[in-house]
Amino acid sequence: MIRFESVGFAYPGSGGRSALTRVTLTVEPGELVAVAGANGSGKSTLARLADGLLRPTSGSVTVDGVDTADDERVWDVRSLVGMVFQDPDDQIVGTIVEEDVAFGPGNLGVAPAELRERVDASLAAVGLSALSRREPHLLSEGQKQRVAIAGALAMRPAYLVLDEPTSMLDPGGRRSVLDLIDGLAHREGHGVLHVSHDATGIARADRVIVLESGCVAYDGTPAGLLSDQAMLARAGIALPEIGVLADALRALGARVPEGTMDAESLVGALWP
Amino acid sequence: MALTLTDVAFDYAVGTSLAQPALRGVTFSVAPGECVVVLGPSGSGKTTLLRIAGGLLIPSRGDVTVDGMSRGARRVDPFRGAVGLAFQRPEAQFFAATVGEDVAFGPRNLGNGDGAAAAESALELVGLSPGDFAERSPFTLSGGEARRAALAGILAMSPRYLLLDEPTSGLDAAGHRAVSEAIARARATAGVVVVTHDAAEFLDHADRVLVLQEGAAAFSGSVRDLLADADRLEAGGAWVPPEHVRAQLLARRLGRTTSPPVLDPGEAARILFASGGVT
Ligand SMILES: Nc1ncnc2c1ncn2[C@@H]1O[C@H](COP(=O)(O)OP(=O)(O)OP(=O)(O)O)[C@@H](O)[C@H]1O
Ligand SMILES: Nc1ncnc2c1ncn2[C@@H]1O[C@H](COP(=O)(O)OP(=O)(O)OP(=O)(O)O)[C@@H](O)[C@H]1O
Ligand SMILES: [Mg+2]
Ligand SMILES: [Mg+2]
Repeated sequence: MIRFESVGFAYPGSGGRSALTRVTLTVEPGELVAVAGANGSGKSTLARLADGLLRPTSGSVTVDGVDTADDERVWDVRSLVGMVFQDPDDQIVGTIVEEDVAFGPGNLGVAPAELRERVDASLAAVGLSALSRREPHLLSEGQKQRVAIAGALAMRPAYLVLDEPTSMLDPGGRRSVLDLIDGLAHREGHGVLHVSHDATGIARADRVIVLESGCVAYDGTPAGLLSDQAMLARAGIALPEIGVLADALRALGARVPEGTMDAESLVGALWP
Repeated sequence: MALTLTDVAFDYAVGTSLAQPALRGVTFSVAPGECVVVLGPSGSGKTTLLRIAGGLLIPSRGDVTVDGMSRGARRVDPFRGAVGLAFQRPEAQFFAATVGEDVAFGPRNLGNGDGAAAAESALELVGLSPGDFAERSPFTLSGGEARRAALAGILAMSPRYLLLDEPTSGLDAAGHRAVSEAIARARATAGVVVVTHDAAEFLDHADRVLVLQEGAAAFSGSVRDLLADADRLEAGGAWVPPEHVRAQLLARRLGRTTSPPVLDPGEAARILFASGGVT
């Protein structure tokens, strides 16, 4: 598992202002953990600590028992944890899309035949097969974000850290990436940390952690968070219109389950 | 007065094996006081359209005019000071060493004093306290802080045409409210164009909607007509409406209601609840 033990972190030159304070959490294989919180609350910092890109100022981060601060084991951590950055431009390295996706697993020493299979499967999973020969930095932002997701998938890491992976996607793309994330954790057994502002994405997690000014303000079920107006406000999450519609229907007396976030479930609940 | 694009086409990488037609003849205009929302799938050409409207790309075909002036023969750049574009990727917009300088640069450059006062009020408007952020490097901000700072840089210039490319992507709830507020204020004097995947958020503001699909207009018209046309647009892959609108479309397809979908969730609840057979 990924384990944060009382982790503190301050960026160099930030005048001692800490970005994270005493954060303790775990992500188990097969578990989908969402991380929410207002802008600047420390979510991306937490994500970068989870894959060893940053090292804690205090406390410790371990992945399957390997300390991310252990210089000798940097590559062990990198091969265990795949990361999708908030800004896809931060991770595009290849000159064509399929090279970019092959870069991570290639570095891990994956054999050519398997590499080919992984790249094709990952591009197909995000709907980019048709763009495999394009230059990644000359794509639209949503297309780039899907390249970044494919790159992390191709590494087939035990754990995946996804920092707002749907922020640039269209509604159809968002839904399919949420399905993909769900499957990675619940069908394929990856441990997944999903940073998100979006109630729809958060609702599908097993557990959600809310950061507030670098501290854990909530660690519990999505249903518990989504029915707690005060905590939602502290987490900077706005209920989407479908959630408002479900609330309004409940107020009128209809039986719509809490956490209904899609049209099919809502209509199914109204007219079973 | 208006910012007008007439039958605009654009191809990336012309003359190479990677030539890409990104726009195939789109006509579109916005006048001060109006808000136009541009929707469409990823890769449909929305950012390309905005870059052309902002004067950053020259169309392969068609005309762009700002208040009747085109760039061509004039010595004065008609876009300068009149059109402000907030990029989809805010990191690509920064150049100065501090947030304060970055935001003040535009207004100062347009002759609005040293730009400090305009910068300060723009930072306040997007919810970044100048005391905390003015001295920070724009390149070490969090994702949402960066989007807010980049937006402030455009708002500080008070452009007559304000072009926003995914202005709420990565923002928290307070950020969403700040953007709504900024649009409402800007509209008192400016024309606003919003490119977004978050239709539910902006359709309330919209006078007109353009839906792009593979570089062409799949729809152009009022919000009312958009909702009336939503079934066709969804079936054709041009637009996935917000879930609460999809729920109403679904109920209609199942014969539960005959009403056209509405944007307000409260009104939608009353319509669905009244349609009978609800458990
Ligand atoms: N390289 C850096 N140097 C100094 N401060 C930083 C740096 N990166 C982030 N920060 C600050 O640390 C805090 C936490 O940033 P972080 O990126 O983790 O926030 P976040 O929760 O991901 O926010 P967002 O939702 O906006 O992406 C913020 O106040 C931010 O300004
Ligand atoms: N610099 C470029 N060079 C070549 N092709 C490009 C370039 N930028 C974009 N394209 C291509 O042009 C088409 C339109 O891209 P554009 O960025 O306008 O899409 P978009 O609608 O803004 O998408 P998104 O919602 O993902 O931001 C896409 O197929 C894209 O791959
Ligand atoms: Mg972040
Ligand atoms: Mg775009």
